[in-house]
Amino acid sequence: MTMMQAAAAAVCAALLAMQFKGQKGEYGIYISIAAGMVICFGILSKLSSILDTIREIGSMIRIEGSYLAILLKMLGITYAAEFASNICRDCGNQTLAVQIELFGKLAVLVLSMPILLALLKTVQAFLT
Amino acid sequence: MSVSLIFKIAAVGILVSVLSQVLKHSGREEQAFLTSLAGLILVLIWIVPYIYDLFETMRNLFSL
Repeated sequence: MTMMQAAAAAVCAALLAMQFKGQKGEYGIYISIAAGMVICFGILSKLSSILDTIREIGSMIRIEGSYLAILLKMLGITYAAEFASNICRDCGNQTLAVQIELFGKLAVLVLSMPILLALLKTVQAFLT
Repeated sequence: MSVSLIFKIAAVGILVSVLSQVLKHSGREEQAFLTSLAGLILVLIWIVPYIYDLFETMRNLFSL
């Protein structure tokens, strides 16, 4: 999916969604969700090539595999949470959006705990 | 399938809104509601597997 296709799809979807602003509002939201997902598929295909390069670089330099995997997981969690919360905000329910964002933040926090422990253990090893 | 999904949903939306207007003016309120419900279910049938595919790809990509 090239940039031009994504831009054209977004503009067409926005205009079509405007059409339903009057009486059938929910179809406008369905169209924007569908267009968001079409562009999201394009983003994921681009992202997969970037992630392959990142994994390759990670294998070159002396970095522990699990830290890189955790970083990628955090990226995935934030992206999914952002996508879902913005869709909820589009549909008008703010509480759901905030709930999903909070869940995403906590999920990232949980993921980073082992790294924090490893850091503190290293610092402790230095001090004692 | 991907871009045509947007236009299919738009077509269903236009069809349902026209149909419900016609039914409303001819006095059949319930049929109007039923057609909009049918349109909603049709759109959901298209979109839900698409959402599942998206999150499945995301899961495999980030090895979540």
